[in-house]
Amino acid sequence: MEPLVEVEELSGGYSPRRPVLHGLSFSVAPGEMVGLLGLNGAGKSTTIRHLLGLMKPFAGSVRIGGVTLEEDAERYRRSFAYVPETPLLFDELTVQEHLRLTAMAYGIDESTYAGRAERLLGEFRMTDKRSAFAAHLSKGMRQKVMIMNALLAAPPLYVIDEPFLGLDPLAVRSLLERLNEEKRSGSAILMSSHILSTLEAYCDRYLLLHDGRLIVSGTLEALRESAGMPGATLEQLFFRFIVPERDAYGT
Amino acid sequence: MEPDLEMLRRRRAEAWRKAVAPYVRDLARSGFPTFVVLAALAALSGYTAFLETVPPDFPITAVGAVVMALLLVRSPLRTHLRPADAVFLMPREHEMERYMKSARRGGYISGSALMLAAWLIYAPLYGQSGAPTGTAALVPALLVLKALNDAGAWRERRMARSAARRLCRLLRAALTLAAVYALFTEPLPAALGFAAAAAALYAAVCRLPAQAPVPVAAAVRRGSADAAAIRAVLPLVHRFAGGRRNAGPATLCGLGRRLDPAQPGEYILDAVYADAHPH
Repeated sequence: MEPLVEVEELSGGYSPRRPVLHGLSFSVAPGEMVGLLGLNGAGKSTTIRHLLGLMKPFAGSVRIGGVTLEEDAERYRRSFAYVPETPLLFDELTVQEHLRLTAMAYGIDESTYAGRAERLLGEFRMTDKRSAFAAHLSKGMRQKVMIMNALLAAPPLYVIDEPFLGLDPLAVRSLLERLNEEKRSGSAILMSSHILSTLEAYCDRYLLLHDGRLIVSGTLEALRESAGMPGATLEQLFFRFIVPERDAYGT
Repeated sequence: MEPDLEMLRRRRAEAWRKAVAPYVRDLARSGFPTFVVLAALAALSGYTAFLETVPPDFPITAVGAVVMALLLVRSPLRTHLRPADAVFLMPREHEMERYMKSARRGGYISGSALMLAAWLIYAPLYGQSGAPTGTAALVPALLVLKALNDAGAWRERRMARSAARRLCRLLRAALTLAAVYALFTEPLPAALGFAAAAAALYAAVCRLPAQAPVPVAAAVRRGSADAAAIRAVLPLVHRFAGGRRNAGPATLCGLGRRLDPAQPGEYILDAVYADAHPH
């Protein structure tokens, strides 16, 4: 199966003299949920910014849906939905208007929009907040709106940065159930989070970054094998891989 | 459903002006305009006296070239982009060129107006420099230089690397200064030839660095910083004006947001998709 995301030898960051990412290569296939792990400053957010096309690689390439941003900006941009770590909403728009705006941006027709919006409002218990302005929502609710907008677009790829921050347990469950559903329908999900137990329960593969390098990747079983720790949890493996690296780099 | 991103920018600019207008009115009613008028009259009187007794060794051309070059190189861009645009308008990034074009047009008009005002003030001094080209004849040339500088500034904004951006800006400033100096000292055809060669050199050098298609993220960052600065200044204006307007930071947080309180948020949707009525 053709990978949906292909990152090849990506070096990038804010200054070529001090690159944050060093020769990163990985792929994400349709129907796969991949966890992006690492300590603060490991390069997770920079990797995501490169995927979103907000930063230009110093070297290497990023392909989504088989194209780079330069080759086909429209196709590239519409291939994914992004949920940022901090909710970004228009304070003067209501919840429903945000959903409408997303539908328009992704070219979703009226009947599909109506069905998906109603379902999402119900699933995330936001039906009675549909006419509330974003400025009047709590942080958790704002995050729900971001997630609902991403799910409304139903793109081939979801790029999700720390989605659980501020969400109540029911919303976390709704999100994970919906992501599983999206995965089954063929969408790919790249999710960055520090909640390792949740990632362990839901992700198919993991990318472990440290100091801008991909130090290990694979399924939980592959990570256990690589670490020589059969039956280890993702958290145990995380420390197993990160601590020697941290000592080696002196960070 | 074709998005009209140019209209979105216009509506946002209008909303911003409407939100700021009351504070400007307050300032106009305060003693500040009187102070400004008195200061301007004093400056005019001093300048007139200076024009009558300009020292023979005063570097008229150099001073004029530096001032005009600074105004030509300066190229502010008020995009009114918002942080949420990076998420909600990103799928339409390929159409954002129209949004930016509107902002660039506005920047050119205001920048040119400021430059022409400075030219008007400088013109009497320029007349005494013995320059080969008349004051009026240089106006079209300066407007073309302004357009070229704005185009260069846009190219620099799209550059992915800050070092390349800084180098190109430095090159543009140096070439602009040289071109203006040539316009002030050389016959017009020769000066225009030099300016064209300088523009070609800049275009050739600054074509090389990697560029983003549309610098949305950078413009959002810059726009947020500009808006924050204006929001910080307005309470001072309010205080200077004697506190007539009962506004504090909490009220000012809403600046530049709703166009019409009776139609909350509609303007974003209607402006982006003029033929769509979602409810």
